[in-house]
This record gives sequence, C-alpha cells and structure tokens, in this order.
Amino acid sequence: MGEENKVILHGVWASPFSKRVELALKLTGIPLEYVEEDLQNKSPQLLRCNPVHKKIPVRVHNGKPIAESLVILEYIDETWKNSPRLLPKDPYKRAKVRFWTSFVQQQLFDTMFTVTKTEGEAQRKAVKEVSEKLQVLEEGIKELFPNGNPCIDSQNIGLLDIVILSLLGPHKVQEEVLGIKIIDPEKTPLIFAWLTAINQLTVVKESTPPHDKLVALLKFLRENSLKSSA
Amino acid sequence: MAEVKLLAAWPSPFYYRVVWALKLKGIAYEFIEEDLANKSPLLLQYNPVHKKIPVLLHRGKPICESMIILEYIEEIWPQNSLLPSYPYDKAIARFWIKFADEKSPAIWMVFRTNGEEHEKAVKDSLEMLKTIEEHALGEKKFFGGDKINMVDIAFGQLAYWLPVIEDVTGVKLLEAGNFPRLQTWIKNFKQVPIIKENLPDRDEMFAFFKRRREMTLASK
Repeated sequence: MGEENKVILHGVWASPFSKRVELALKLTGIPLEYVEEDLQNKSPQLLRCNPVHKKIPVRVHNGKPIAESLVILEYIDETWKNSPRLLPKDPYKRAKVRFWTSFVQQQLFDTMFTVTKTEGEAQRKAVKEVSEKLQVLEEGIKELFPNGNPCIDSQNIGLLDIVILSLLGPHKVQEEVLGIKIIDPEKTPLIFAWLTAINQLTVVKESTPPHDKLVALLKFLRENSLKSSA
Repeated sequence: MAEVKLLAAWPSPFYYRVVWALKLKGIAYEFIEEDLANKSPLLLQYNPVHKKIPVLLHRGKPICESMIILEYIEEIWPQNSLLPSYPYDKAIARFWIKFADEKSPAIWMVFRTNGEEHEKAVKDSLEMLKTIEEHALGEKKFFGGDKINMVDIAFGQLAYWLPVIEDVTGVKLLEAGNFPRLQTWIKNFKQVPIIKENLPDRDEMFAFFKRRREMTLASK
C-alpha cells in the first residue's frame, strides 16, 4: 500500500537532466523520494526501470517508470493539473515552447559540453558556436517576452525556463572555472535578464547546490576530460 | 486561401510524417514545394532558425520540426487520435518518438559516408534496430497497438527509406531472419491504406538518392 502514489526519482545531483525533474517536482509540490544513483554502480532498480538507455533521471510512480527528462516533464504537466503548468494551454504557444526547448537541447547542450571539456582551438570553436546560437535564441525569445522583461515567478515558471536553467543557470560557475564570458549582458540582454530572474526564485535557490560545490565539480569534470583526451 | 499549408520537399521522410498525420485525420492542406537548393523567401521567413522543411502553416502561423508539428496537429484536430489518451502510455509513446529522432540519423550517416565513419554508422544503426526489436514493439502489430499512431509515423523512415538506403549503399541492415518483429512491422506498416497511398515512388527515390550519394562522396 505504501508503494502506490509514491513518486521516486532516480537521479544524480550533478546532472542537469536530473535537476530539471527535481525542480519540476518541487514546483508542483509533489512529494517524492529521491534516490541518488552512483553512475559507476547503477542500482538494479534503475537498470530495470530504464533498460533501453540505463540512464538517469527516471521517475517512478505507482511502480511505473518513465525515462528521459523532457518526456517526464511533459508527463508531469499532464497529470498534475492543479499545479503551476509547465506548458501553455494554447497549442501554438505549446509548439513554440517545444521548438525552443528542442533548440536549447539539440543546439546548445552538446556545444556547451564541448566548451567545458576542451581547450585551445577546439574550445575556441565551440565558444564561437555557443555565442552564435545564443544570438539566435536571444532573437527568438523576444516573442516570448514581448515587453522585454522576463518576469518569472513560481506560478508561471515553465518547461523552457527549467531547461535553460539546467544548462545555463550555473553560467557564473562556468565563467569562473573557464575564464570565459558565456552570458554577456550586452550581447544577450534578454537571456541574461531571464536567467537572473529564474535564479532568484526561492525554489531554484533551494535546489541549487552551493557555488563552491559546483565550481569544484566543474573543475573536476574538466580536468578528467582534458586528461583523458591528452 | 487554404487554412493549412505545408512547405516541404520530396522525398524527405519528415515531410511524409506530416502528410500521413494530416491524411489520417482527414485534414485538407495545400502543398507548397520547396527547392532546397534554392530556398524560398517564404521558407526563410517561416523557419529563420533552421531554414528547413517541413513547415506547417495554420492560419498563417508557422510551426516547425516534424514531431512538434505532429503534436500540434494532434492538439488542434483530436479526431483519429495519434497518441494514447492515458498519460503514462502517452509518456511511453513520447519516449520512443524521442528515441526514433535521436537514433534514426545513423541510417543517414550510413548513406552519406564511407570508410570508418560508415562502419560506425552501420554499427549504430544495427544497435538501434536491435533495441527497437527487443524493447519497443512487444507483441503488438503496430507501436500504436492495432492501429498506427505517432510512434509508427516517427519510425516510418525505417520502413521505406532504409530499404532505399540499403539498395543505394549495398549495405544490408535488415537481412532475412534478423529483427523478425521489426520486419513484420515494416510489412504491416506499408499495407496501411493511408501509408500505402502516400509513399514516394520507389524507383524515383532510388535514382534521387543514388545521385545524392555520389555527389556527397565526391565532395569529400
């Protein structure tokens, strides 16, 4: 009887994909049991719940697993109708949110990973690409924030906000570790204002690990990458 | 003036995804053919970010990316539903749609490369087919159960474009006896009336892709 109605999230504190789901569940006030996975030693439950990819995050409710963070977020949006909605009601606006989410996911994520894990020419090239993609995003989100002022609060925060947060929320950490400006308030003022607004929400602050911990994590990941590609 | 227009190009499998969805729901549309070597101002205006087809125009408003278009179509015209109504089943459907979109590019890498890249693409494609065989279909006739749904449409390129890639490259991924469930699905999928009536001509496709492959490899 205890197993029913329990939401279990298998995640990893350092994963942006895991953080997305954690934040969404926190926003909707859904009580959850969080299982921190060791990716070097994945639990049998994780392997059973995600046999295809064997990855986190996996959300299990009433014993039924769902994998892939964006699929989980759409599921949350559909099943908890009273909570702050993650997607707009209007189908055209939903399509726009999905389009930009897909853009961030496919065009920016991998390139940002390259920026954090490489150096020299490879890094310069990736930084240039990120910068170009951010310009496209800056232009594109003007239609989402027509008065030029992203006012995000815990009632209107949505899927795209969560996704951009998961990638670029820690931009100050990224900038400190890499010594490179990622979000320039002069080049992309709207994105800068948007990230600032999201980062200021209490629920976001509470789910974000301390700055120093994130700096240490990024340094560790970067050093490992550089060592293994040397 | 048509309420629904579709900017697209033959023989893109992404274009056909949208055609199948529109036809399955009985939605009339006007087809506007794009020349991808010479993109129209209309395409650049409606998809400035990716400059790609298909683009659906509904009452003048553009929607881009084939699976996002399909979700939009499903929401605006719910008849002949292409997604399960129960949220959990819908989530599982979306998982496989995402899988299809992330892994299917491997077959196009088989098509446009040679040497080591080609070998890797063949390996990736076989892994994808194996996963679908083992995890995605189960005992069902279609991914959608007794009728096709959005997941079947998402995997559609495996049913019709992959065999053409095999012919053009001489690489056989779907050999007799391997992936039996998937191969049965392919046979059944191509027999669904809306699909059967809306497929590009096989010989024309073969000629088109053969030329394309020659040009791609020559430019390397």
